[in-house]
Amino acid sequence: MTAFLVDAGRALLWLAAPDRDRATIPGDLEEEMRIRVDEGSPEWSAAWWFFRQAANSLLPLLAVRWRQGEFARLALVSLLAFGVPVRLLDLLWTFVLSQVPLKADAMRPDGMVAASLVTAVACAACAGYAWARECRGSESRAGMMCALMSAALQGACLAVSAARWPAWFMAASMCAAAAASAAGSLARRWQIKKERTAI
Amino acid sequence: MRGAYLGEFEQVVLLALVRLGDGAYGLRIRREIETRTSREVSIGAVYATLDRLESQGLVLSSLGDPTPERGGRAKRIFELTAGGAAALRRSREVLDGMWEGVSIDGLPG
Repeated sequence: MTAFLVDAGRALLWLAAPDRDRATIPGDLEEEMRIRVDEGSPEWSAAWWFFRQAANSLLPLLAVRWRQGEFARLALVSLLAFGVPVRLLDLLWTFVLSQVPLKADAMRPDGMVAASLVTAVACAACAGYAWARECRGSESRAGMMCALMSAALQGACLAVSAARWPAWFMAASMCAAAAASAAGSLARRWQIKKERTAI
Repeated sequence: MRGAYLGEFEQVVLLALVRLGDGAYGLRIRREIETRTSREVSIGAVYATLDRLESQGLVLSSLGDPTPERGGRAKRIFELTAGGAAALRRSREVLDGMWEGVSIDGLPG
């Protein structure tokens, strides 16, 4: 239980801390946890204190990243690499269908749905790669954040689309966009690893 | 001028830096505040405030050496700048000015 609390606290800090303090903040807390144990605190109590500190730090640390403009940059990268192309493709389908008599409000044909999904996946991978490039040194976290953003954008694009999408398709395409975005950031990690090995 | 008035917690953090002098880092600042104010403070709130103060030029930070008791992680050492000291002085003058001649003994509560 003690180890679980500490690991959970570390995970929260990994998610929330700004890049600059991703090592220093857990370092401070771990040092103080050891001091508490040395001062006679039971280990479980010190671990609970560690977890509570990490949980209470979540919002202030996210606020720091918000103030530093990290989320705005992520939104911009995701919009340019994912949201705009996917939305443009959807508008193109809408235009094409509007030119076909009695087809304006029809469900998308299977081929179009497949092409939309492939485009979304490709764009999400680009967004994940671009954001991981931007967040040098924290590619895993960047991938996770970009995956969430891609899924949200895909959901928004489908929601405002003129076409009718089945619920399963919306869920599946949001998951696919998130997975592709994470894969894009993993590709960036792999590339960095390869470059380091070459050096 | 922006930064001319410090919030209560900003003053507390800057005063902790003054009290600790050299080698003030997250753990020591947090503990100092907790000891002096008897209120629980999260490390995140301390770092968020220090980050804001640093962006206003009131605090400077640098990375210290990693130590084994921190799992090999470095410390971020904070120090007050001349601007930070001036801001603290100004805040105290403002408060002293407001308190001058005021008695709250007869007030309810």
